Amino acid sequence: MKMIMKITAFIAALVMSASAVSCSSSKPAEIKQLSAKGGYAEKKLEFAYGDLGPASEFTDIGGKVGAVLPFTDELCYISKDGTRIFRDVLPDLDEVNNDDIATIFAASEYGYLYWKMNRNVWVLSSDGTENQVSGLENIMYAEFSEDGRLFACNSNGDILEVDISTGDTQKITSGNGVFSAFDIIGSNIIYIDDDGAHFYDIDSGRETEVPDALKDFLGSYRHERLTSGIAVDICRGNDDDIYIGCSDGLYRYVMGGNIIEQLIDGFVSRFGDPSDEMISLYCGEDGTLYAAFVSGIYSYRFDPELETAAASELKIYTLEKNNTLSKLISGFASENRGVKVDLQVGMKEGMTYSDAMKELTTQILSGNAPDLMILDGLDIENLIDKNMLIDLSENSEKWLPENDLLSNVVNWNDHDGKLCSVACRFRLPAVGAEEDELKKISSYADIADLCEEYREKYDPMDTIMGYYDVNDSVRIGLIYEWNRLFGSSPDKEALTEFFDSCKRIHDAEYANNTEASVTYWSPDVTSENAFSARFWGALGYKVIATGAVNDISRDMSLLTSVDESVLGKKLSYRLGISEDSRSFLPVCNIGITQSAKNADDAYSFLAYALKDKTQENGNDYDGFPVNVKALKKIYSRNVNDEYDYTTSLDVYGDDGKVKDTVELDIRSMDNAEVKAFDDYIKSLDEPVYIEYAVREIAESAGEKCLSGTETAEQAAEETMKQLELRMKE
Amino acid sequence: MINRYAIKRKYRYLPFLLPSAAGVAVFTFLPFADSVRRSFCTAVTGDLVGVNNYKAVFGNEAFGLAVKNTAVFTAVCIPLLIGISFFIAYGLSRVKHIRLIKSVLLFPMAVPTAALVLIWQILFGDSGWINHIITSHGHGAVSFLGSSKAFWVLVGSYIWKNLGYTVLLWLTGIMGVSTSVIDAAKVDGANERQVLFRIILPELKPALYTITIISFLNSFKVFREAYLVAGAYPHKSIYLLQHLFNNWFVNMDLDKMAAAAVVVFSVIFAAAVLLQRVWDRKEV
Repeated sequence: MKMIMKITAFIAALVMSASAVSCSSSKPAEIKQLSAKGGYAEKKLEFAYGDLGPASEFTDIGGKVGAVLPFTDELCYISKDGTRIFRDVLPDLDEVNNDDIATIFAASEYGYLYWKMNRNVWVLSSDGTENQVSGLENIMYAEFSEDGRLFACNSNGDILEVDISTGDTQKITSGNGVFSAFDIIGSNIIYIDDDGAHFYDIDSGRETEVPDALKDFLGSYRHERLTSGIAVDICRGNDDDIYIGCSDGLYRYVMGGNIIEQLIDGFVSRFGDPSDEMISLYCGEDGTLYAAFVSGIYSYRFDPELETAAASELKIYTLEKNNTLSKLISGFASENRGVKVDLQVGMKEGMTYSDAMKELTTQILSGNAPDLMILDGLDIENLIDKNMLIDLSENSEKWLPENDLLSNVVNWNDHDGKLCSVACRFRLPAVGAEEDELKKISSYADIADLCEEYREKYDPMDTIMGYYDVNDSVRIGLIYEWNRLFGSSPDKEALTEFFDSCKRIHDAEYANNTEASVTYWSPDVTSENAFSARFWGALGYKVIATGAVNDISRDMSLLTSVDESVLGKKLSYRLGISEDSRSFLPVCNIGITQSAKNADDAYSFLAYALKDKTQENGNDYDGFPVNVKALKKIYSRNVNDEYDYTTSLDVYGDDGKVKDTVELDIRSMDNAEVKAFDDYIKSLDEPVYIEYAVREIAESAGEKCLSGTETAEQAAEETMKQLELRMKE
Repeated sequence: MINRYAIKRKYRYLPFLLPSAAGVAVFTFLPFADSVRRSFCTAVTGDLVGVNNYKAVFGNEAFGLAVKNTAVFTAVCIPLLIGISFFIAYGLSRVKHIRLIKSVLLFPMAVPTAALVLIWQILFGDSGWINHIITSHGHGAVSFLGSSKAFWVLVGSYIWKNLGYTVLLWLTGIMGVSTSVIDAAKVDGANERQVLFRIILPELKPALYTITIISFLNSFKVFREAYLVAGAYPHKSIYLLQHLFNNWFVNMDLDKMAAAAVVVFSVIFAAAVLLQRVWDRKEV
């Protein structure tokens, strides 16, 4: 017995010592979360231009700290009190006539490194000499060291030193893969590549050891793990510390320590806003932190009284992730620090609609129903039938803003005075083509006729529809035809005609056409919302623009400014597929659940989403605002030319070379155009609510039709059968 | 003293039975009891609605279709499976190196459903292998999965997957028949057919009962293949009860689902009890 006990004790001692040894060999980095009280308050610095745009990183020129704007050759610097941004023309940059600078990568008193419109990289030294830089064609980041040496990295994974006076480059080291951060702190280049975080000492010319805590933390922001472009920026603090900004927030690390302290949570600040992009960080002498984003410069001052601990939790559910909601949450959370917003995305990480709905059902059954639901794509009628949603009209004082709303849009789902969902934004289906051709269009079948006609008559290499995806003819077609196809009981004849139109458009678009599906606009935008980009394309080609219009400043200004193509034809657009169409796509539809544990905050969120300030500052592709005051404010942007701009489009010849460059002034809508538009949106009465499950059925059959495995009639029959089964259930 | 010892002996199986009984109670009986409760309530709010859910289920066309399809599928598959597997097992029982064959027989059960579905699609898809052969001979393509032919594809899949296992069950039964009885019958002049029908088959009655119940339960598992190949709304010939239950769950029709579950359970339970009684009577 004694022997057994001895052996047991020996094994136990061995196990314990093994675990102790393994712990001491690599102590994990500790992330210190936000404390309950005291925190950094975010404030946007006043700036006459509104957005900052593609500025350089923070730099100190003549004792003024700010970012350099490429188009105006100005230093936008922070005022002494840290509340405003002033502008100062940089004469050395201005004098060399650099109107064609697209991006400034590095700026300092020692000179500049920038990218011109023709994609060549140049340096401008402090004595005014400009030289082209070789070996930096795929430049990613560049930065000056404190003693004026210039370093840059490219997407090949190389880090190079650039001679500011000659433009010559010398490769100093090689990284591995794509960089997601590149900053110089003291004598160290801190960069993150596919291998993780690295320190490179520029004085000794050797890589040095990265503190364990930083290695783990920065390593988690490798490019391959990120979903969007720029990830991390690092700046030096006033003590022996550094600040790290990323989408998760702002962090502080004291050199040599093992703790990384979170100062600001990305979820409740600009850092986590997916529609914005961080450019650079800077720590002021008084400890105030500044972050430059595309949307502007923000200050972060420590406030010992700021409440950071959440007093309540608001659970929000959405079927699909969308930037509109992310921006709403970020804004709401920063205004309501006591509310922790828990966003649940149903179709995340490859989950199907069916999986997402099963998970939602399970949540509801287990008493964990969300407080607020973004209903887009869900079967709203079913949720109402199940008595899942609160009648919002009963508590309108809790959410209805003082200003008027477009009631025809907001209350589109009103059931005899019972209002279980409200639309916070809307989009407008539109068609654009040459004026004479547009007159002939009043249905999707007419678009198919025109598409076939264009393919027969014109260059087979050019795109006609400007699609993102081979199945776009179905996806986009549905926004025009949804109500006709699925408004009441499904009609086989209408479905057959629809699939036939989709097939004809698809075949004409892809017939001997290598250019189709080549996208020339942002991949962040879903194809059905890229109407204005297609209409813009119609300037240089025979393009039939389809899709939805989303906003006034960008889309409507463009549509009302473009009137003639380079082919000498008058271009025109129409909101709705036919003259008498008054259809709209209600988006960001919000409902509050009956079982909401936090209905008060849910109402506050709804009120926040509908108030004029929020509505006025949406993302580009969010959709039109429904708040009348916000609309009026956006309309009034035409009183001066602040929002007008000039843009250009390259038109290519048959040889693939640029034949012509069209320059166009984009102006805000004038008063007559504003009135016509305002009258139109007030008369909207045909909501097109696209339900995900039904769309999935139609798209699945449509894909078979497009690929030729089924005829239009068979696809229609298949859709009918599935919908009939669904209705019988 | 003797009495206590006798009681101890009588109930000493209990500690062995309890974990299993507790598991069944917690994970089967309690959820089923909850389903019975829910079948009288609304789906989300839980308000009492009496027998309205049952009325809704019996008046539901999709339920009628699913019940019909499931019943037809079971009625076609089980006799086919039992018959085919018996004859294969009977043939194999005469082979000498049966051990090697036994392991091969279980192979279809080891094939993951996802892999099986891929094979299905390669074989029976609209642009699949079989259609390729058909069209290369100048005939039009056949929609195996989008027409009533899907039913027979599903039947084939079920039989292929369960055949080996069922053959194995039959083999075990056949091997269990005493060879001395068979030898004695042969000495008495019985031919092969007489041995089969008069000796082997009557001896296999308990095995048949087990095989019928297992095959019946396995017939519900074919849903996975049907769902992965044709989705939530397949051709109506293969729209089974599980499709309906799955879609009701997705659409939060938990009230109808609970009522239908109770109905289906009652029918299956009644059928099993009836089968058992018929069996018992025959045994007597």
